[in-house]
Amino acid sequence: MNILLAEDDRVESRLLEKHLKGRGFQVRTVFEADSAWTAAEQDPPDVILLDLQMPGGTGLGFLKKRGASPRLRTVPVVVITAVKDGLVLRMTEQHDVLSVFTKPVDLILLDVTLESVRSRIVSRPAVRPGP
Amino acid sequence: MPSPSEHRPSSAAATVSPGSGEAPILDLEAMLATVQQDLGLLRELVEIFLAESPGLLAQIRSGIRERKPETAERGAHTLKGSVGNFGARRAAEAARAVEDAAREHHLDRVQELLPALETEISQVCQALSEYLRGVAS
Repeated sequence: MNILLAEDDRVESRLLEKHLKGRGFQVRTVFEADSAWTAAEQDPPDVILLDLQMPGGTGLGFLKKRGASPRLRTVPVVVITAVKDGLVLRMTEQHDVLSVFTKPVDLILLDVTLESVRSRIVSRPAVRPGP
Repeated sequence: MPSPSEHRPSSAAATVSPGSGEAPILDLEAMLATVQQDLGLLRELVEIFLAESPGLLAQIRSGIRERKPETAERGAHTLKGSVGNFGARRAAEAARAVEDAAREHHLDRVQELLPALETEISQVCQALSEYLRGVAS
């Protein structure tokens, strides 16, 4: 499963990257919101881990663009945030976010969330070519 | 191969607060829990933090100098997240105070709070460096 990790904090991003690779995921890491959008559009991942506060744009901007993108609107997004307040919860509800994690991320709960995505991908019926 | 706990140094600086009643500079247990006892990863994260934190403090100073509170807010926000991974609660609180002041565009307040944050970050860097030396020895 391919994960796009968008997190500008180098400590947090390295921690997550190492953990996710150790779980067998392929991880692309970007440190800015606009880079995240470019990377996602060029090669849509299976899931996006998105920090809400990054240079080069905001997580909200990313979520709005994703909602308007036929290629990306079905890609699950897991939000990473410093504070899970009412504003963040409303935003994530409005933009169909799979899950919200506060920093430092609980890696065990993150594993559970990502495994649920992986199991959906694995159980998705393969597209067979016609006769 | 020794277990991770056998590598734990007894560095007082990493775990004991400098004054009575104060929170510790670092929380060793929280650090190790964050990296799931992987000391190699912890070393790598510490090295990243030691390299990145001066730039983040400079970003805050730049925000003050250029009258751009959003720049200062971003630097403080990132510092807050980074030190949180090491259980450095005092530094995280100092960063949060700067972030809040910057978000409210109170740059004079940011300027007042910055020395305390710089002190906390310096102590975290020193404690992390001592911790790494303890792990290596």
